[in-house]
Amino acid sequence: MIPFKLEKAQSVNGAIAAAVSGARFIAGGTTLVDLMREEVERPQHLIDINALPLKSIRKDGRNHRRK
Amino acid sequence: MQSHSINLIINGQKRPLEIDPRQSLLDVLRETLDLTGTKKGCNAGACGACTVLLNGKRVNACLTLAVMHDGAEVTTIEGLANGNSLHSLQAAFIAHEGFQCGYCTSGQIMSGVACISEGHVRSREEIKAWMSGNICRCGAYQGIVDAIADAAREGR
Repeated sequence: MIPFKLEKAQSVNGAIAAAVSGARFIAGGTTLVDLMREEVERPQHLIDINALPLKSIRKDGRNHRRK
Repeated sequence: MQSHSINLIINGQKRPLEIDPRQSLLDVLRETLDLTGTKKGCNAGACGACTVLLNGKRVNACLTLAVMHDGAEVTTIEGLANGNSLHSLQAAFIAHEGFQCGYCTSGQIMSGVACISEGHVRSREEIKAWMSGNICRCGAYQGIVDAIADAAREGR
């Protein structure tokens, strides 16, 4: 696995800002970790979003929102 | 690569650890802590041999990064028995011959413990569905389902 930096997201906006600058979100990791081990995915920066208060996904008109 | 300091509560014991963030929970258990009861089968989340309980929920330890679980409680096969007294599901696996080679057994038992605590044991079909993440290439499924059904009945 290629080395990476892992950070815990402190806020939703912080996590989005990190993703905009190239970080990958990690939650369960069941796909991402597997692909990182095979070096298919090679993120340099992971942002752990487990602690964020995002608990459900709902359909809102034409969009899906996580809240 | 920067190491991370984390604490895991493994089978009730607090274990301070210095880990590489690339280490899976499985590799920390087996290689750092020498808890080799948890097996590495496919190392890709397909076989279930590495199943452990993480804060009471079953997970594939091969697919989760240990660094993400600072402070978590982990229960492995080594944590089930009470001294020399086997957990009821361990005893039931022996009674019902729920294994042949034994490689998948730790994962089957950990998954079975959770299957029972989740209440997914109302029928053999339900047990089979909720144990479908744990593969047994010897084909001891009949005994595995019997053992879980039996331990679930005893627990009631």
